[in-house]
Amino acid sequence: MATAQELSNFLAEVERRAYRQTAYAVRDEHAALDIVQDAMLKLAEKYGARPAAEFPMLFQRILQNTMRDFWRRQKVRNLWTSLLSSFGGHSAEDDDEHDPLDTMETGQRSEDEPEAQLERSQTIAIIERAIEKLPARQREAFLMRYWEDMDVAETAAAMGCSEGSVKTHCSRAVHALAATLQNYGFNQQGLKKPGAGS
Amino acid sequence: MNQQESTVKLVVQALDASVEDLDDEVIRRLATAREHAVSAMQPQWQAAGHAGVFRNLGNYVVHHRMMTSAALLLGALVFGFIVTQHVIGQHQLEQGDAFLLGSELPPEAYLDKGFDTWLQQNAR
Repeated sequence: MATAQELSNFLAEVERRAYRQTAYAVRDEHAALDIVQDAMLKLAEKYGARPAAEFPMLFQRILQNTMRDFWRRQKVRNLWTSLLSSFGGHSAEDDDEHDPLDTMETGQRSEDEPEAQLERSQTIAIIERAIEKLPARQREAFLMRYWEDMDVAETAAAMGCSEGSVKTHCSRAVHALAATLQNYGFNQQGLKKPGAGS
Repeated sequence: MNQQESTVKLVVQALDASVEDLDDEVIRRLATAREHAVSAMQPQWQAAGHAGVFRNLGNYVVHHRMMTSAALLLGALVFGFIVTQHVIGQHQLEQGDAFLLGSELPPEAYLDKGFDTWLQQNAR
C-alpha cells in the first residue's frame, strides 16, 4: 500500500512530463494543466491505496482517459464555435492554426541572447512540433514507451491495446519523427542547422 | 547506434530539456495540484492512521469488491444452514421428549440394549 509521501514523490517526478505530454496532445496549456490536475486527483482518490509500483501505469491510463474526455467536450464546443463563427468575428481556430515553425527564423528572441540558447530553444520547438503532429496513438505510445520509460506491457495496459499495437505505433512514430527531423537538418549526430531543410 | 535509436535519443533529450524550461507559473500550479491531490488521498486512505489492521482490511474490501461480496454471500449461506440445522435439531429433540413422556415404557427401557430382544422373545 502506498503512503501519501510515496504518492507525492511519484507525482513530483512525473508532473512536468505529464503536463508536456498533455500539452502536446491538446495544444492548450491551460487545458493541459487542468487535465493533469484532474488526473492527479483521480489517482489519489481512486487508486491511492494501490502499491506505488502501479502508479505509473495507472496514472498514464487516467491521463489518457482524461484527455479523451477533454476532446469529447471540445468536439461539442467546436461545433457551436463553428456555427457561431459563421456570423463573422474572430475565431478561436485562428490561434490554433498558428505554426511556430512558420515564424521560427523571424520570431527570434532578443538579440543579446547567446546563439547556443536560441539554437537549443529552436531545436526543442521543432521536436515538440514534430511530436504534436504525430497521430494521437503514435504519440501516446512513443511518449510512454521512450519518455516515461515504460515497458511494452505497461504501455499496452495503459493504452488499452495489445503489445503488438504498441510496437507498431512506436515504430511508426519513430519513422515519422526521423523523417520530420531530417527535413529540418537533423542527422544522426544531432542538429546541423535548424531550418536548413524544407 | 542506428538512425531509429539516435532519433529516439535526440527526441527524448529535447523533451527532457523542454521540461527544464517550463514556466515558473506552470511549475507552481503543478505543485499546488500535487498537494491538492495528496491531501485528497488523506481522508480516504490515511485517516485510519495507525489502526493498520482496520485500514488494510478497509483497503482490501474497497479494492476486492467482487471477492468481498462473494465471501459475504458464502458466509450468509453457511450461517443460514447452521441456523436451519439448529432449528430442525431442536424440533426433533422436542418430538423425542414428547414421545418418551407419552410412552407407556419408562425412558430407561429404551436405553437397555437387551430390551428389544426380551420384548420380541416375550411377544412370541
